Amino acid sequence: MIRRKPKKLIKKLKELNDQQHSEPSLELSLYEQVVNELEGCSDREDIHFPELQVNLIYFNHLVDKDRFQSEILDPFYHVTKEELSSLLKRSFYKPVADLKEVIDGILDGETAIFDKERVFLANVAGGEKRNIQPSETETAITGPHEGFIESGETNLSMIRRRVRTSRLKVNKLPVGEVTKTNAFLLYVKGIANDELVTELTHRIEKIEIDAVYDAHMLSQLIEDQPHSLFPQFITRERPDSIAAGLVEGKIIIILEGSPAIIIAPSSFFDFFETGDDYYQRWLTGTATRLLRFGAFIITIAFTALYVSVTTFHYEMIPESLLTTLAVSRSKVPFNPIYEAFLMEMTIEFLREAGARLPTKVGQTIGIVGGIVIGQAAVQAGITSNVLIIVVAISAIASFVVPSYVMSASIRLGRFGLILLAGLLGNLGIMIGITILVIHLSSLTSVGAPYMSPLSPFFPKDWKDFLLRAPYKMMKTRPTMARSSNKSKQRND
Amino acid sequence: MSEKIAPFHLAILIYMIQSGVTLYKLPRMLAVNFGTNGWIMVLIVSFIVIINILLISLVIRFRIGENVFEIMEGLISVKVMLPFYMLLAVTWSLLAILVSKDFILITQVLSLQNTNSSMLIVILMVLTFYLGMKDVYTISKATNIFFILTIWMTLLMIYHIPHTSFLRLTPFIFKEGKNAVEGIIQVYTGFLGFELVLFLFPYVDQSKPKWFHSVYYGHLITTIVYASTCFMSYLYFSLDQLKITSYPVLNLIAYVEIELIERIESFVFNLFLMKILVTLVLYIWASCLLLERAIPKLSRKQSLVILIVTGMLLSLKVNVMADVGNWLLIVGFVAAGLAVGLPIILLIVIGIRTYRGDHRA
Repeated sequence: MIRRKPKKLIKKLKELNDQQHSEPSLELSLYEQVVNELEGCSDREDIHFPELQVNLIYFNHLVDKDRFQSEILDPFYHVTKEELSSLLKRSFYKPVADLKEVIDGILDGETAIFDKERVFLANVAGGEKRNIQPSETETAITGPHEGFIESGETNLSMIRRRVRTSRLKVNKLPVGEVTKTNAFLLYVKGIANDELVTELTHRIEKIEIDAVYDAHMLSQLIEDQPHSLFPQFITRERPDSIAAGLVEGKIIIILEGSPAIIIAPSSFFDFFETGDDYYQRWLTGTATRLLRFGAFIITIAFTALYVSVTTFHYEMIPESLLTTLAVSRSKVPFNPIYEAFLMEMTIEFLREAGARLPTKVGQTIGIVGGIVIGQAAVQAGITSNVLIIVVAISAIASFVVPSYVMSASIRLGRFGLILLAGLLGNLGIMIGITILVIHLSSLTSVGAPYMSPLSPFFPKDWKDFLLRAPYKMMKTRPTMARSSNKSKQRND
Repeated sequence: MSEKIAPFHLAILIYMIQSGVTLYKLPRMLAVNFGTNGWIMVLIVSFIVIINILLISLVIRFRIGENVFEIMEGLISVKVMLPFYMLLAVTWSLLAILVSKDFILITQVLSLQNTNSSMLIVILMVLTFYLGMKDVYTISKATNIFFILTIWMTLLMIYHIPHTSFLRLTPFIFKEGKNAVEGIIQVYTGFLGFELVLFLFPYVDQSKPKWFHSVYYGHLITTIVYASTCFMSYLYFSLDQLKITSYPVLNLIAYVEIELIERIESFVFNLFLMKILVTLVLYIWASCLLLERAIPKLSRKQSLVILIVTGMLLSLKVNVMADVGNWLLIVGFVAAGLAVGLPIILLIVIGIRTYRGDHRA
């Protein structure tokens, strides 16, 4: 369980921890101290070379076994006692004197080499990791298919291969008092805003928590308003999207162990963009983007509008549709708001069950759900046909929003709107939308306005907002990145 | 980070404060008070408002001090100004509450007739409190989105073009009118809101020398929306129809029918909630500034609650449409007087202080 500790306590623990590491007992050698520290870790490997008087300590599953064999074991088997000093002079062996450094090195997958009183760390870190595969949550039809994995270094390499400039800087920042997970903060010097880099670095350093397991968790710890319903940083799982973010002047945060990578600052509208928009023809890209915004409006307001119209505003329904609706509603014993809540909840149950179950069983849920919702509920007179259509369209529309995190937030917001519509009709919907607009307008992402470029109005950024303008027109970086180098294309 | 309101956003803010439910009654007001071709009066009154804005621009240009308070208090001590600040704060918050009551009562003409209007007003006040708690830059950002969500309504007029006739305008100007003076005041109150720029200017990005033009542009948008709607109403309805219809613009919208939705007005009118909210919040925000100047110990939360509750208590008995109309006329008249008087008083103060040798900001 993760729980926040009082700051003072954490500070004290940290001091004690540091003391334990940096002030070793005078009687014990560094080797003995390391052994003591790792006592009870049965997965630890300890190799002794008696003729050389050398000990090696490492974790077998954290090192690259081939490299360990060829670069560490083989030389030590073949070297004589006289040659040992010259061997250890190689830059591959990094001399260390601090217990904490040795322990951190071993936990990072390095091998600690103890030669009498001297200690060296040799980096042969490796271990098992997932192969690079297409991302499941951010699929691509056109464009590159490879997605990030849980290894921070592999993710870094994928980005470096795409952004080949020495100006791509990487700050390594450990997060989590217990887990000491590495976070990497990436930016392109000269393009990214230095103040934003400093601010984000400061926010990450300020985190005082036992563990951080995922980038989504990290983003909630560094957001401007963590209590908001809406995510303030977008995460991507594809290296091309991250490279685009870097070139736009944004800052990237990679967390070891997470395939999702944070882009900061992010605007609300970034959550409706995908890499495909940029690889397709600009007109197709624009049309798809508009479709997504349409889906956003439908998913948030369509069911609420049904409830409002059937509860308070029957006059809004055209005569031709009125009979159909009246017949459909006549058998239903519930008020539209209960009916809508019932169906929306059922859809949510199905979605959640489908997401958690294995694929083969998941199909059964689809069939059961389809029959229950599609036919039985209507035949039993629990709900109307029209509501089934409305709820289904809303559900489909919610999945059109590319970001799953944003889609979940929108779906939750929809329930609030349905409730207001059931209580106050169209006025209720307007009240809900007004609250939503006020809330979204007050949000910021590392100080940058969340609703940019709509509000504040940045006309230059509209070329990559509702529209995906032709590349020749997109000459400037987004205003919210506050880049000192605003132009990204030659002006001719 | 304290961001400043860009001139472009100031224009939108001014328009959104100015325009409100008055639009729905304006053609009737014009028909009753000015008679034939009363829509022309919108342009004339708009011109008078421009002169009023000009006075405000002079105050800002020649100001001595960072804000209105510093201008005033350079000559008159805070203790003397205290009752004036309080009075101004109460007047504006009362005006805001009356505008909200007017909106709720019109809403109940269309729907929610069985709902207690006080409950709806309380909900509106909660919204006012929610937005009022934000800083003015955030209010401006929300206003931009409200503007985008509402401005398209003006385009609904295109639907009426085939059904209009120039014959309905008649060749007479201002015939059959009842009370031109009252009419001018009523139309003038419809334009109120621009005077708040006196309190807004310290929060505006003044890096561009011509930033104040945005106030004129904001007023221009209001004039275009008001004049075009009234002109369309005169083309669509006859003069007698206009005189007897309570809310001609509502009827105008009700005529619009699209394939999927009928009686679109019950949806469109509710969008005015956003416009009303901006007017409400900005008036209450200015009142908060005044109250907090008078009693510096008050936090924004406290001053908002005090002003909203005071306004609601003062208008407790005003629940019927006719009463709200009468009160709005009186309070609106006072507010119009303040809009004209305030810059004049400030200019006099600046004149005296300049004569005494005080330096400009």
